[in-house]
Amino acid sequence: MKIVVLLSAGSHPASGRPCRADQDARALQLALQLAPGLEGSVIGLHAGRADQPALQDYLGQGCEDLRLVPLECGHDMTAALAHALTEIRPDLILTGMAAERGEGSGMLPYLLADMLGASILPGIAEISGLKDDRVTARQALPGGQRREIAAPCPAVLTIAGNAPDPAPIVHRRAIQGQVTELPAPARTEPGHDQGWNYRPAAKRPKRLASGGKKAGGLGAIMSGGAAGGGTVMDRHSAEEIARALLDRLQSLNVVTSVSREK
Amino acid sequence: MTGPALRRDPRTERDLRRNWRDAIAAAVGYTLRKNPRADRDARRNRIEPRLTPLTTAISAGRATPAAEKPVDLPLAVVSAPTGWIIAVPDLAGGAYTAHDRDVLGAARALADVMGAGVVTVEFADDVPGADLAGADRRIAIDGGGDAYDPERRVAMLESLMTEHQPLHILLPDTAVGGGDLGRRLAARTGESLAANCWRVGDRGVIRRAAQGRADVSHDLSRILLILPEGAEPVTGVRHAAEPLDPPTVQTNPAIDDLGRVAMDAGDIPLAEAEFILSAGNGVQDWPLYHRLALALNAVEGGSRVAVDDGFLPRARQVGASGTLVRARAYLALGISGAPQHLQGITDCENVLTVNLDPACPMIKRADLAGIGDTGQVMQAMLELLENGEGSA
Repeated sequence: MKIVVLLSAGSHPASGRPCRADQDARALQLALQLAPGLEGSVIGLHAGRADQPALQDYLGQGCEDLRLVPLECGHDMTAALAHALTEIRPDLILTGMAAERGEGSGMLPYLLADMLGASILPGIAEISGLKDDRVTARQALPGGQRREIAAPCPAVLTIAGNAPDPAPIVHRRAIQGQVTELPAPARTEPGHDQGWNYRPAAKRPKRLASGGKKAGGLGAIMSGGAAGGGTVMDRHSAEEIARALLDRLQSLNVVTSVSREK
Repeated sequence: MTGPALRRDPRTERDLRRNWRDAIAAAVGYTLRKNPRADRDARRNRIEPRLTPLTTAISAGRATPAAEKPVDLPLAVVSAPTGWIIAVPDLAGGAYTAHDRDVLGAARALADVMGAGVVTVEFADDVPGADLAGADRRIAIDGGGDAYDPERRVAMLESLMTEHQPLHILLPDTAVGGGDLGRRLAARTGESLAANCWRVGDRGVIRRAAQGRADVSHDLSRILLILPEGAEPVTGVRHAAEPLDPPTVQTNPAIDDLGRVAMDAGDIPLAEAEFILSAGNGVQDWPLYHRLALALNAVEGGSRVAVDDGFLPRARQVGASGTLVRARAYLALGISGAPQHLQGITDCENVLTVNLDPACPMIKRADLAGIGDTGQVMQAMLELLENGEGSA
């Protein structure tokens, strides 16, 4: 039973230096936790240069079998990775949801799934199990909810940031680990984002919450605090405060029903 | 204001005149730029800004009398569209969310420039609001409820693509909703895709790249995934939203949806929680707090003081060195509101609080604050919940 984790170079949020990518590291962690129980092996796969500093982080996290597909900077990696994956024939392929460098469109897992004829399960927070060639996983939904989905193997799972935290990096493993270099792909082409101008993210204008509902600009104040921005209830009894709080929670749909008696 | 004499409150008016900047900011929605010299001169010459209509209205405490008349919106009809633009809203919760309306707004903007029409594809039965959102045509496909069914939906979208030959297909960029469908469609059909778009125009798109670290702009792709607030929604006009026949496709989906996992409030991680009941130094009766959290089905959280004293585990700490929370409702009991704690709740939408001290920073931050004893309020809330028709 083989689990391949696609590992990319991440970008540190503060310094921008190459380090392990957050979602890829969580994917690796899920694989390392899952493999022993299923008597499987975890293979890390990276497409790029052998001197990539981020690879040391993955070795330090515990990836023992890290393989490299040599690829020129900026070239398209889809075909090269698909070729390497068809040679390895894994049961599961784990990836992050999008790259932290470059375009980061999140298309790679979908393209690979299509090329390999595998199912793809996006946004996974937890892998429940793998039995009889069928993988069951928990998908992360908004508001902390989870949904259980299953697909036949081979399957591509994209791991969301809701997955458990990755293990810390052990320095000894990082410097003693070895990266296996696979044969270079025959022909690669520059990525379709050649010549695109990437610039640091600009601050997006925030939309005013008030929208179009004000009566001539004074509506927010004219409603006399009934809309409730910044209301303070002083010199009220505990019951009145409790009722006001529960009414507000009910209007926000977090509490379903409260006693109307009293 | 005409009508009977309004009773004015001189104290409220005096506060408003003194805090006139805040009053105007609340009215217009943005803060006026400060002019230190003008403020200094006004203070020296003892000039107070006169805001008489504003202060009178507020001190009288009257709600605005302008009744909400149902406005008949004008109908905009696209007579001879040069092409079609397909928009696929998520319809989470069975209705057009703000994000869906933004996507329809982007589709409408592109369609108006290109002389095309907008078709909305709804994977749900009988959802209102397509005409107000800006759709000229509407295809309602039998939902299957909340189930995760991307392969069948992508097959339907593919069939619609061959039938209508749309100029563009727009979807909201959500991880398991429109973003998933759009990427599957792009992988299957080989069409170009632009993800994380936050500005869309006929000349091109501006996208977030590298998980929000960079921006890139290029020409319009065939499939566009729009971020929340990535376009203005359609307002003030109605569209036809004529129904069209849904496509029929046969699929054999490989992915099974085994249903939602019943999540207790205790299972939900603090960073993802929608409703947090947070306790601080002012809470004495901790068993009562836990019972209230259970009754409300709220996720438990706490300030640094509560965690340091051992009443809650470190994982439950809300704040700068704990967890940054983005809840829709945050109820803080007995938390004074240290700056680091307020940093943790900057992204919370509605903050409610109970505290004994009316001057603490949490009261200022809160949308609804009660001055009182947290123990008594907790007990009253528990009684109201237990006597109610149901629970949370």
